[in-house]
Amino acid sequence: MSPPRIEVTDLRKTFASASGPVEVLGGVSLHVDRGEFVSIVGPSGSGKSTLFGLLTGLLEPTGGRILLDGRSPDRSNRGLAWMPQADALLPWRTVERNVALGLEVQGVSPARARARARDLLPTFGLDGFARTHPHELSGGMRQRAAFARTVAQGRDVLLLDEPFGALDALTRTDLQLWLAGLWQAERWTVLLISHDIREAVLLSDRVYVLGPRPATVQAVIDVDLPRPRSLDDVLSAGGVDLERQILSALAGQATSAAEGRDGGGAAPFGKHDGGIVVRPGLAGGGVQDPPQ
Amino acid sequence: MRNALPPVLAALGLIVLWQVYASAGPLGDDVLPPPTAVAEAGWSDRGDLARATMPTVVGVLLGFSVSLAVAFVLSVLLDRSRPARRAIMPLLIGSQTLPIIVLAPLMVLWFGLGLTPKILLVTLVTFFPVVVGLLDGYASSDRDTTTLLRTMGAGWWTEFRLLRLPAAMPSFFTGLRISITYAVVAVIFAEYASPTGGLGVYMQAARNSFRPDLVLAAVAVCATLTLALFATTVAVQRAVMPWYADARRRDQ
Repeated sequence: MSPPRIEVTDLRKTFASASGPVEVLGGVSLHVDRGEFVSIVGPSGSGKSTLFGLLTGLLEPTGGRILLDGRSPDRSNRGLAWMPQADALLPWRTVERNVALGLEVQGVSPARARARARDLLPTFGLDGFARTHPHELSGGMRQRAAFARTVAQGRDVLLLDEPFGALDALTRTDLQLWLAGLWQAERWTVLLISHDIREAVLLSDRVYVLGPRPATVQAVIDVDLPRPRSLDDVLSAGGVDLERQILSALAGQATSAAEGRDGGGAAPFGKHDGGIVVRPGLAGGGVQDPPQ
Repeated sequence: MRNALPPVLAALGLIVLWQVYASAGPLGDDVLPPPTAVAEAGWSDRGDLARATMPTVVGVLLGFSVSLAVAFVLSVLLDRSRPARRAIMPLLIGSQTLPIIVLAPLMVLWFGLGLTPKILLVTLVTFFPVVVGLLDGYASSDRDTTTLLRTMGAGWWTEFRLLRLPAAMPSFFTGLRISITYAVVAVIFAEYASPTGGLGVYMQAARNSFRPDLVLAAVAVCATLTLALFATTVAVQRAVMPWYADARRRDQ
């Protein structure tokens, strides 16, 4: 069996700060296999973005180990394509030239990079927008352009850092369903950071729940819903039960973080749970108790 | 064209006020010639005036080109190295306090009567807003985009070329528009100090022969030059970043 695309073992990261060292990751272990869609959910400030920094090699771990395809990665070129929450499109570049950015950085000539980017645009619903500047696009289209830029790099793994977090609820739902469909066809290897539990259930094969600082994995939840997935699957008894599991893993931390107030019992949904925003559901149903 | 109306009206209003005050006021025509007299004198001396304008224009263009090159090199150096920024920035700020009226004759003394003192003075007077504009612009580069380029494997040069330099363009042009308005004055100062031709020399000669009308005609030429240079920078900015005005309009 081939080694996992990403294998993280007991990863630790401590930052120095004016008020002393801050331990952000307190030993995180996870893996992502080829063609898997894996999500990480956790409270704000639980070090999810630090984890991406370590994976991309922009940060050095304090302890633990990262293996990519079973090997210790080089400092540069790790075969990972990162997509930030803000689209980070260059305002002076057209859509096709934004999508081509990663190829240009890799040394592909601008003309060839642009041609390859143009070929990708229909897949991302941007046909006919090659020569458009980002400020002329809607938020959802900008995010799709940013997504195309991530995929255009031709890297093995996509690291999506709350890619839909800045969008309005309707656009976000559209894009989540769009991504679910696209992933079904393309089968990229994806590691997604999300604040949105339903998004994680809709898209993922597996969800890691991180705790507050210093973050460790609180729960690993396999999402065994059928593929291809629709909103109905997510809103089915099985889907809602998965949401409940993720929520209680998060809520458990929230109560332990609040010195055991509440006794760690079944926390009411929608309560403050360490920064996770529990939004009313995609189809307006809210988070419901599964039928017993 | 409707945009041109307010400034033209404002300028005309000032000229009319001047005309009225000069004809009816306490000063004689010899001391404060009315605009009509200035225009007349300038027109009748247009040959000499045009000959005097050429060296000034050459001085401005050469000086400003050197200034841009110096500003760019300095900005890259200061952007790359924090120690360099800390060491050099106070010197640059200090350089802006040098009184050029005193410096101009010294420059001529040190560098002779040729173009060198002109170029140096224009550079000294105009590079600073451009350096500050470029540095601010580099620093305004989006952090996520910086991180993104690094995850893509970009080195310093690639990041500079693809992100920092284009991101600096808006504030670069702001600095450019400020400094271009100083350029003509700087050349006039240099010309005042060295008898080698140009509008500065023309003005001095006109003043010495008690011809305020010709002095003012030369001043009008200077003002026109500066306006033309300013308009050129605006046009270049539009050509270089057509997306910018459009994006700004949408933001409002």
